[in-house]
Amino acid sequence: MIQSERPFLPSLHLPDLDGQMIDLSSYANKKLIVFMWSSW
Amino acid sequence: MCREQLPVWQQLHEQFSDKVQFVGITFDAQGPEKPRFYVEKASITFPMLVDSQNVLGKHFGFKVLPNGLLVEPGGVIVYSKFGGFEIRETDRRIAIEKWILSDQVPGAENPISDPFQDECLKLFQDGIVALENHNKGLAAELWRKAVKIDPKNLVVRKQLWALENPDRFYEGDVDLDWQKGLFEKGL
Repeated sequence: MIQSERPFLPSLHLPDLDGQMIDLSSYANKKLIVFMWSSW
Repeated sequence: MCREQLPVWQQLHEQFSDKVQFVGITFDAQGPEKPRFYVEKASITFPMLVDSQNVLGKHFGFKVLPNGLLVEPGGVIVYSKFGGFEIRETDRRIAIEKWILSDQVPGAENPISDPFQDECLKLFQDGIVALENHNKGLAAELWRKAVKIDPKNLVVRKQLWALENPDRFYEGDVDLDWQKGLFEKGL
């Protein structure tokens, strides 16, 4: 993806740890910090 | 290491949850069970999503972790850092707290300059599908090909290592000296 100057948080659906699907963009009604990590 | 940041994020969440929403996204093609242990250990109470199909990696094009985004209400990403997004670094923590409290956006760090290569991405995604179909051998084979094409792709490399050597990653401490040795040998 080409990075634009002011990119937008995508509407992507991911499961939580219990398998419930959540739209990432639904959290953006408030100031939001997204932290991406892995176990290793 | 990514997971060691979790307790610090939880602490920030407890301190600033009235001002900012925290969301964690964990990457593991093997699904939620491995990360769940660390999420529970750190007593995380903010939402934690699982990206086992590299959905965000495909969207943003990154091949490194840990990453961070700061997003304004409404969805504009005002800051992103791909690779080395480490909240335990004092300067970064101060900058992020400033943003939380005053809207002052931290200086731009890095947009993605070295994205996931197309051929590599295809092999990685095919491996994810193979793993979903319980074909661990095929997944490892495809990921090995991807690593050969792009040895600097740490997402694929570490995912491959974690698949083949779970005891080095998931039971107890991650063996960083061992990883470093493999990396130097180009494995």
